Amino acid sequence: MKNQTRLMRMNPPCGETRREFLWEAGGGFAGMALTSMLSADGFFGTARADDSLRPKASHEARPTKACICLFMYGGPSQVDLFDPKPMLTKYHGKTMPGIDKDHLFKVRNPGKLLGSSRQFLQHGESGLPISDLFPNLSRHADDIAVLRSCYADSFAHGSGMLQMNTGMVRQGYPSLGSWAVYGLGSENQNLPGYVVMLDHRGGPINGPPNWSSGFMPASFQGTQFRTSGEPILNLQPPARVTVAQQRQQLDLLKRFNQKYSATSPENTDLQARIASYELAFRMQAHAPEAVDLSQESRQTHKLYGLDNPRTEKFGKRCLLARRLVERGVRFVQVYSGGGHGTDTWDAHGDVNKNHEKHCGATDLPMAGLLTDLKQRGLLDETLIFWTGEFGRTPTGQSGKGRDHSPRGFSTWMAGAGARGGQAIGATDDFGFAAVENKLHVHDVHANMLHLMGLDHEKLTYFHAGREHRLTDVSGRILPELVGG
Amino acid sequence: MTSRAAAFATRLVSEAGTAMPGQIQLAFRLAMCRPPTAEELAMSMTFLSEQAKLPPNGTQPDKDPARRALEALCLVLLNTNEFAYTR
Repeated sequence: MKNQTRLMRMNPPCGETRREFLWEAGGGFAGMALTSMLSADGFFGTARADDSLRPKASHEARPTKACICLFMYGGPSQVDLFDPKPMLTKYHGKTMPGIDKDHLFKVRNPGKLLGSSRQFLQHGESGLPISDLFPNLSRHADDIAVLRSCYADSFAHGSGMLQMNTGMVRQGYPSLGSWAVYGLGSENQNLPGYVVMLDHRGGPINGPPNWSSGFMPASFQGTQFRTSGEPILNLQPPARVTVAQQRQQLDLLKRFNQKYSATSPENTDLQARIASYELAFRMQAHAPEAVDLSQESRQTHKLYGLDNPRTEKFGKRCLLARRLVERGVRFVQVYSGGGHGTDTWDAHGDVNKNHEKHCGATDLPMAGLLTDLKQRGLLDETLIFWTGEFGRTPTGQSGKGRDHSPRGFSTWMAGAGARGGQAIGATDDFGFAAVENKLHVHDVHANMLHLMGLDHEKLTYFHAGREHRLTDVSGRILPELVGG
Repeated sequence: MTSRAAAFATRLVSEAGTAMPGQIQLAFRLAMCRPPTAEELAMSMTFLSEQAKLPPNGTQPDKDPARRALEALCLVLLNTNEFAYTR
């Protein structure tokens, strides 16, 4: 009895004190309401977003099916390629006026102005000036819209790469291809929707975060294809396994995984992992055909420069890109420049020597890609986006080189209805900073998405309590570029 | 991974013998730290007998079909999300 009294006192019949009961009941009811409201907002990742890879309708009717992003890693020099500056030549060897005002130069010790030694001729009917470093690309001047007034936030390769690829200077955000595949799905369920081909000399700084899906499901991340040897690693099943055996094994694995992921439906990584096994199985049958360049004519090989050791490597990547796009791959990123130093466009030592090398390797293949897409009627539905992570200073470095500069640089777009044969925006007299019609990376991305039929303000993904956009909270559409 | 699966199968045979239910139960205990559910046990049993029936290819004629199937089950278990990925 004594024991029971004590129990009565310490543990009331409902197992809690009156105060505890009221607190938990009240808090609990409010909590339930909150839970249901948050759930309706997609707070628990209960897939309000369409996380599948099936083809989806675009926001605006555009013929665009795919984007090929040609990434010149290291930072190509605008004043030597697309942005001729007579004043820079005139004031060669002088100190750049206002140089002491930019904090960029407080940490980067600038040299004197370095005039470009390139020739800029006007090309096509439009007369768009392009440097003599791109003699073949120049033939397509009327298809190319140069954005001369781009600017970015970082002068370091790592954060610059992340920003051009994901919009943000720090890791953890979805890359361009992820947004494209998230927004439009993939036309080919037997190949990845988003493929990345690195330079044969290595990858860019940071590596995979540059083609990561960030907070989106892993099924939206870029799949790396190699351009020498087997394009896709570990794709061939081990010789000891038959297709029938493997199919049974994958079926069992899928059933185990489905049962397991049912215990935590909010974990999209688990679903993505199931999907990746299935995609890999289908790719075993379809990818070898897609990457078999021997099916292409000798003429096509030549068009992309596959017959010349200088252009062969990048040419192969461009030709593969066309084959993938033709087969419904949504986004292909092709790198020029990888590893370190002069193997990238990072021309600190000698800009002519560096750019002659890299332009020489990419000029003909890029022109070949444009010609080929056009011949096949694919240029209208394929956006080509050429960019680096930033540009280079008009001031010299170690004599003939140029330092990084995010203040003003050129990128270009072609195809997919982008209005070619024009230069949009302008940098200052020396080609240092964007001054007219300035285009932040977010603005460039907004136009890129627009040309793919996606509205950068509507393309949102819910994560960590709010909707996220590739363009964050900015992004300006250029009617003169996209039409309408 | 394939060679680890083969080693896993060897351990199952040496510790649980050749009876299927025992092998499967030990496999789940070792890989997942829990016994299989009734459904998982049934699925695994079916898999072992179906997999063993499939014709081998040229490089595996000498292998006992039951052993080949057990190695395949081990490979599947080592690739499950529960084993390989979460926690």
